[in-house]
Amino acid sequence: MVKQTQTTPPMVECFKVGKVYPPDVVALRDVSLSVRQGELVFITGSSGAGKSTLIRLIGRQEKPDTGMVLVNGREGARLNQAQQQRLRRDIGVVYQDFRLLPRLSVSRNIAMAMEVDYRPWRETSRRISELLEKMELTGKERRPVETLSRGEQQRVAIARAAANAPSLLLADEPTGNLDEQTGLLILNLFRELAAAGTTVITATHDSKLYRDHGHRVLHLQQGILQTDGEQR
Amino acid sequence: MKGKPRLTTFLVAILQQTGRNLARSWPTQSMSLLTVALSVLIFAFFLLIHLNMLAAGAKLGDELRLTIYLDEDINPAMQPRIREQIHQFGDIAEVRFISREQAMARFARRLGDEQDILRDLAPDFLPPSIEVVPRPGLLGLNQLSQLADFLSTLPHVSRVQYGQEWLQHFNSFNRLLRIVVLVSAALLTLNMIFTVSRTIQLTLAARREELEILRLLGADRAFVGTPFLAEGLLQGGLGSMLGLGSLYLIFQWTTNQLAGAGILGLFTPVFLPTWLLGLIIGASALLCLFSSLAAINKSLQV
Repeated sequence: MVKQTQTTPPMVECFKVGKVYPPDVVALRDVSLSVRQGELVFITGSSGAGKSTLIRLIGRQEKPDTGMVLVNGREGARLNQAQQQRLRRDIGVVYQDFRLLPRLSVSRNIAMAMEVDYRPWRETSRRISELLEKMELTGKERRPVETLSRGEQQRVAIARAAANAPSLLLADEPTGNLDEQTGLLILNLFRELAAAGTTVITATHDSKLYRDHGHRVLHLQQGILQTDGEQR
Repeated sequence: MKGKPRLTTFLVAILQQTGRNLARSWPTQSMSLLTVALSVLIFAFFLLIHLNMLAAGAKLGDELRLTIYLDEDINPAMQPRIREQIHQFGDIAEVRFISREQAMARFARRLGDEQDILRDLAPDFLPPSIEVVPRPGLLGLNQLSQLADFLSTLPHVSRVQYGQEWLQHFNSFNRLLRIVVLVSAALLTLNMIFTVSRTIQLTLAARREELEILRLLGADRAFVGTPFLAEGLLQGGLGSMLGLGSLYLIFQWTTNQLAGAGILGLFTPVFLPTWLLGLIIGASALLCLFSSLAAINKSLQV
């Protein structure tokens, strides 16, 4: 388990980050924050507060208009294509729309993340079984994703993001389609990953997920970081 | 950040990905494969005919004779000098002097049981002649024509005969065949480039969503692109093998059907040599590989 100390290196650093969507919708304004390795952090706020935008900027799916985002001490703009691809393989992302291939099986969807990282097949197979068990999807590995419920699909997306035990896991509303019990299951998985050294940043409006658990919560409001601290 | 993968891990991943791609898009891939096979079959068919015609021509050339018909017999004392004159032209294997009597006797032998029809003819009815046999390989029409011109200057020559018209037709046909082979090679090349690159582009378009997800997951260009290159290589290699295999079956069937027919008495048809088969397969595979590479460079955004 990675013990959080002031000397633990930062995994994500944002310096006065701003993002404006055309014509003039301000999504983020001067957001500065630092998340250390092995930390589990929740980004909260109402709809349109800028949670998903911040996740996309950290995950390098978009570029900031102002400021700078560093992941593992590196700025996306300074990386060449091969370095960006390697970094992407080290970041697991749970997308709001899942980004799964509906006709492919559950196993294939998860395996894709490990195959692009050139993991040996045995390791891939073992990890898939382990994740399916944790996500309570055992027995559904051969089912095409399109035949699963929304909640099950969401769990497949989470399993894929966690497959490579990435250095950084970003999740955009990961419990949006899940009941309370399954939500706790996901929370436990995130805690396990964080304990193993993965930095987990989750955008959510589901207060049950972070309240009373002593985790760090960043609260956004109209693109501005309002509070940063534990919520009990 | 993670480093580069081991070669074996990379190859296994690429093979798995190629296998999955082929399994998912086999109808398109099969059509492409058959098109390549058909193109190679057509090209190799003309090439096979051309090569066999050249072989037949060489064999016929080896058996070529020039016959010089004379007005009167040449005095045996003169024969060595004339023989020497002919040999001076060079590339002459043999010179035979045929007297009127020898010509009649040879004709009678050819008629066999029907030689009775010569009974009323005088034994000196046929003209005397000189038979000139060029060395094997002297098939060029120009050389033959020059030799014939030279022979016609000899004393007492009335006519020189060597199947000039037949040879001209044969050579014209061979020239035409060579053009057909070159044109079919050009068409084969264009067809392969077009078919394979179109197939790859269609596959890329059909898998746009998957490729976008692979990009988001951090797949590098080698992981996404190499299976398409392998598909191109397989289409070229397997397609050309299929085309050449079909040609071999057609060749075997045809030679079996024509066995005993007059045409096969002239020469023995042979299939394409192994080195040429290897060259066609290798060239097809490389051509399809480069077509895939061009399609990937044009359409793959990773």
